[in-house]
Amino acid sequence: MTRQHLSRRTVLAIVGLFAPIALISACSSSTTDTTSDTAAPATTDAPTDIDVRGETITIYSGRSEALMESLFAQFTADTGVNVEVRYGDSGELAALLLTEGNKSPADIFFSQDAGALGAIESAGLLTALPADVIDAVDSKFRSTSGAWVATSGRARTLVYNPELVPTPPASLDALLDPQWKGKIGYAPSNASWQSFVTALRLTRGDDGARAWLTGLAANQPVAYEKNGVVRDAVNAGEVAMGLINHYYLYELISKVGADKVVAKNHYFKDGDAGSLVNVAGVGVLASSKKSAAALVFVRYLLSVAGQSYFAGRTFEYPMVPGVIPFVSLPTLAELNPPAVDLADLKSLEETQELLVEVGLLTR
Amino acid sequence: MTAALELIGVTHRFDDTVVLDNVSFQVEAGSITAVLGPSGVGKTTLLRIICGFETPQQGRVVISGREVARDGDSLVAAEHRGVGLVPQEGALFPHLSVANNVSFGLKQRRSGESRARTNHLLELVGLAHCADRRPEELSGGMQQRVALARALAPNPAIVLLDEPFASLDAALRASVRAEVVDALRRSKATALWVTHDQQEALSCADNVAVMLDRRVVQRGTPVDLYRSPASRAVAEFVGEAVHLRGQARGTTVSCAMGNLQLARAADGSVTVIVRPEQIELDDSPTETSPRGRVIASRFYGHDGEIDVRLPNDEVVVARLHARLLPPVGADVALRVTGQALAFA
Amino acid sequence: MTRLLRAPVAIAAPAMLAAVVAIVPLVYLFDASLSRGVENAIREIFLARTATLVLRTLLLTFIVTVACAVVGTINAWLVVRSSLPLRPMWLMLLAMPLAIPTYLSAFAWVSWIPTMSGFLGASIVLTLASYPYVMLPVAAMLRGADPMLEDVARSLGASAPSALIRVTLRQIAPAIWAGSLLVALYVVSDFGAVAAMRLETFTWVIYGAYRAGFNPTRAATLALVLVAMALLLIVLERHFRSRVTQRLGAGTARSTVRRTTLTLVAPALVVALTSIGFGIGVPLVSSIRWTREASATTDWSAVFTTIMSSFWIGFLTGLATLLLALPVGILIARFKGRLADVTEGAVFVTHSLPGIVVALSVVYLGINLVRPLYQQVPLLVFGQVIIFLPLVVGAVRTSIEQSRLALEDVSRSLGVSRMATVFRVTIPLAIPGIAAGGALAVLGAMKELPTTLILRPTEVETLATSIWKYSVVSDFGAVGPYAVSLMLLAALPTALLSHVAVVKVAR
Repeated sequence: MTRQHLSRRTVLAIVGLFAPIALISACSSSTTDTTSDTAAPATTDAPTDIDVRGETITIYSGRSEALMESLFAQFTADTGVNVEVRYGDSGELAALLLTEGNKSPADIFFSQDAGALGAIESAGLLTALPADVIDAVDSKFRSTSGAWVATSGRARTLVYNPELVPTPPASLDALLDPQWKGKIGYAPSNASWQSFVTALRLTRGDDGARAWLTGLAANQPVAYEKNGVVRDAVNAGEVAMGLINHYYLYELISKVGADKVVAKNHYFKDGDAGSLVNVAGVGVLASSKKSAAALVFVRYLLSVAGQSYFAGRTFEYPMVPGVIPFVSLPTLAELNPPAVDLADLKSLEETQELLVEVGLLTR
Repeated sequence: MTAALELIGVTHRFDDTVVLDNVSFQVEAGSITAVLGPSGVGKTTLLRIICGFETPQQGRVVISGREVARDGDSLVAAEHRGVGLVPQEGALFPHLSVANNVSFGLKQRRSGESRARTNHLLELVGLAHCADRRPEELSGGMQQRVALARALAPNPAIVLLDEPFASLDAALRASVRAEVVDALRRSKATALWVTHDQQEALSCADNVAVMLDRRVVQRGTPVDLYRSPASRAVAEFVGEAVHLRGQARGTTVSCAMGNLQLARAADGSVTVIVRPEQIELDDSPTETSPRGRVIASRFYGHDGEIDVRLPNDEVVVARLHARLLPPVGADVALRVTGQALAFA
Repeated sequence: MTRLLRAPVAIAAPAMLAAVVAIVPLVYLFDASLSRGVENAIREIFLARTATLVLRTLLLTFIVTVACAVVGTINAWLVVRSSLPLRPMWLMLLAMPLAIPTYLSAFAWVSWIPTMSGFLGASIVLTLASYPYVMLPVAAMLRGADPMLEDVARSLGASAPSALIRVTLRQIAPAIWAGSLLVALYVVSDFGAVAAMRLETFTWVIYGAYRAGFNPTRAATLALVLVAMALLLIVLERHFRSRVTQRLGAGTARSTVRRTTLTLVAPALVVALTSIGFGIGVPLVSSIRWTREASATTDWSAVFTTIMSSFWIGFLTGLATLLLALPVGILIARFKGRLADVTEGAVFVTHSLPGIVVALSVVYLGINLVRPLYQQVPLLVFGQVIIFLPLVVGAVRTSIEQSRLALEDVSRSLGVSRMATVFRVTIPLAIPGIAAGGALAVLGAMKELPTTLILRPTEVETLATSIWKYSVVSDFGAVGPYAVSLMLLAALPTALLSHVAVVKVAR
């Protein structure tokens, strides 16, 4: 950890305070992560500029520490670039970056969703990425101006319990059938659910979205705290099905074993908002003085090593052709996601207002 | 010799209410002066002005020849005035021991000199054995003596005592008062003593200033005040008074108690005032002796009082030796000793 | 008696510094809010369905504040005046909800009873979390209040409950008002409970403007509405809180404990048991259950390290807050006047702001003015000081107001200057209040999440950030040990607080 100009007493206090933490993080860095079995040799296509070895970049990560810390440790081991990571809610980190402006200590913004990246991009805080980085990712999953790229994707899905629902509803609109009254679980405050509704607004217009949401509300869906809780409830048969992201099911399988999981994912594959593929993505701050090292990080995330990590560890969709999902998933093309510009998903606040209006967000 | 304290024309208001009106008096060095007045005449404000916690809008305050306040300006801050304050209920610092309370105002509190001074003062008030105790372990009277020792410790030009015994019970009050006066006398301190208790003022002070209605109405020795009050109000406030209607002519007055000698000449219709102890039973009455019927009798132990209704329905009070108290209903003859007072 | 003394510079200057520190967020809010022009700001206010939100927020604030005033006062009465055995233990248990952050207790509640979410759930969680802010000052004041008055009322024919209401309640009213103001300001600012309970209040919308709208300008404008609400609350409290009624004469020390009838104690006891059971029972049981699920994989050395950093950050925050709160408390209690009023208002008004607003204002200040300290401990502590200053100022003020003015007069007449008197008399006498205030700040800093998350040095974890870290990925097994550790660590200052409340205040 680097420390800047501080009085001696402050330094003493800080050292006393944080030395044990430094020790712990050092220990955890040395433990190897679980991706080694799936990751290709990391150095093959992770170009490492010798100049940036030993440099330290600062990452604002909206993706959680629990999922990302071993990836970052692997990055340092593979490239010699050290990282300082500031974890937080993607939206709050975006607000932080907007407040910091061009004085931000951050080099990288690694966001859980495209909306926050779009907001930072509109404020002119991101620098354009080189063409080879941009071109590595399908144009659907990157900023039109090339300021950020997606690093992994997650598909919306209907998780269902086959014991309760032998044939899941075929489309979003089929969910509104009165036979599903009280049988649909959702996590109202979850960001992915809200992104899905935003996509619904973008595809059907606000009135169309309102109509669908009103229909859903009439079916009295069951609210849960988190997507993971929805999944557990479906698997346990407390509720027949739930609108969540695809990877929650695989998290459960990897945790308790496939034999204990009865729930299944159903993909609508109909070009509607129910097939939305949202992404996590990364951008380099225009104010960064270490853009070379920052680019090494971006390239690493898009390398076989990085992409395999997402496929194997978080069960997400890799964004770079050639790296295949760890579990058997429909391909991105098969999913047939709606034609929305992911950056437009930043109009979340209007979505929340609509959800409040139809009574699906607040009580 | 300069006065230890001099107040010249001090006037003070809170908002629009005048609380002190042109107050002037002085306190001679080495003397004990009492300010006597009923509750709410501005006595405490007076002390706060002398201490420096309030600044009077008009007038001057001079302590040991040094002007400390003048016409709305405080010239010397409270902590530099050299006045020792003994507030109501002592106000000992609850977080300090008795000895540390006493040494509070001393410079270099840990020096041997300070310790000696503290011990000396605790001995003076008879509490040397309590030096290490906490204030709450002391009785109310002991707390007052510690408060006095604390006020005396820095050798102030003057000690100010604010109703110091008001919270003590009657039995304790007399003895604590005697001890405090004794300590003040032995330390040769100058003291200004504020009280509403005329007995306390008369018995302890060398001089008394009577405050009525926001101003000082009379100054003098206790004997002067009692014998020759300047006004009817003072006469009534200092000591008990028996009132009679009378017609004065020069130094004599005629009233229901007969013809009495006046201390000061007067003429015309007056209110005659005599003290209850001036009225005695006349054991060899004459034709002209005033007579009346005892309508009430109060027994105090060493003495007592009777109320006597005179033929013209005026009632007088007589203070008598307990052994002489007549029964209620008895007809008695009375006489007046000494001179009476007459006010228009 | 009013004192018209001018405050010495050595008191007034640091007090004004504290006021300046406290209004840092306001400077930022005005700048951010008006960055797109006044008309835009005005439009934002009307766009936000402001009237509904203001009404809902005020209703929640009103209900929680009244509930806290009732529950806090009943509990204080039970532990100070009733003849219940083991009263100090009861007081400590009753103060314990202070050790539990609302984001944790709210989550424990909804995972236990999912249907609780909404207005009712938020009211319950916030009441259970904040009633100690009323209970502690009321308990302290009940200790100091003359119990004879109640006896006198009884002898004049008032029934026990009626004497309680007509006499005792009047005596402790200033403490109830002061505590209620803190509760009200806290409810206005809280996000943890309303987020978990999914209740759309003003804070919710402000967070939405940051997180979902990526619109700091709009968030700042809405936060200014909160500031206006806070000003209203402060003015209301000032209007209703009469000057502290000092006991007439010291009287003799009497036991404050009254022999109490079962009809009076039993209902109070029900309230107390409910407060304890639901206030600490629900979150504690949940956390322990999570911990037991996780015991196999918990890295206890990491937990310990995190405990240490929470402890140090809490300690430094407590110390810094005390240093600034002391001159303010002295100024407000002893040198009443325009300066004292303005300083008090400045210190209290920011208590209504959600943590993220305070944090971003410190970011704004730090990155522009003291770049070397940005994302360092001093700036984190600075942000926490802004948040907890009013709690400490309140405790210090009350404690100074309760000590006798005459003591300070005596000191000055003994040749001790005003400043020296502050150090030799005023502060030593206020030690219980000062300790209580410090404990409140330490406790607050330990629980605090949004500011810590944004202002902490990169890669430093506190117990609160660790709870957040694992709860965002729904790893409650990992949350458990941190949650239990936080409650245990926070129990220490809470114990100190409740101990101070029963120590007799020097008169």
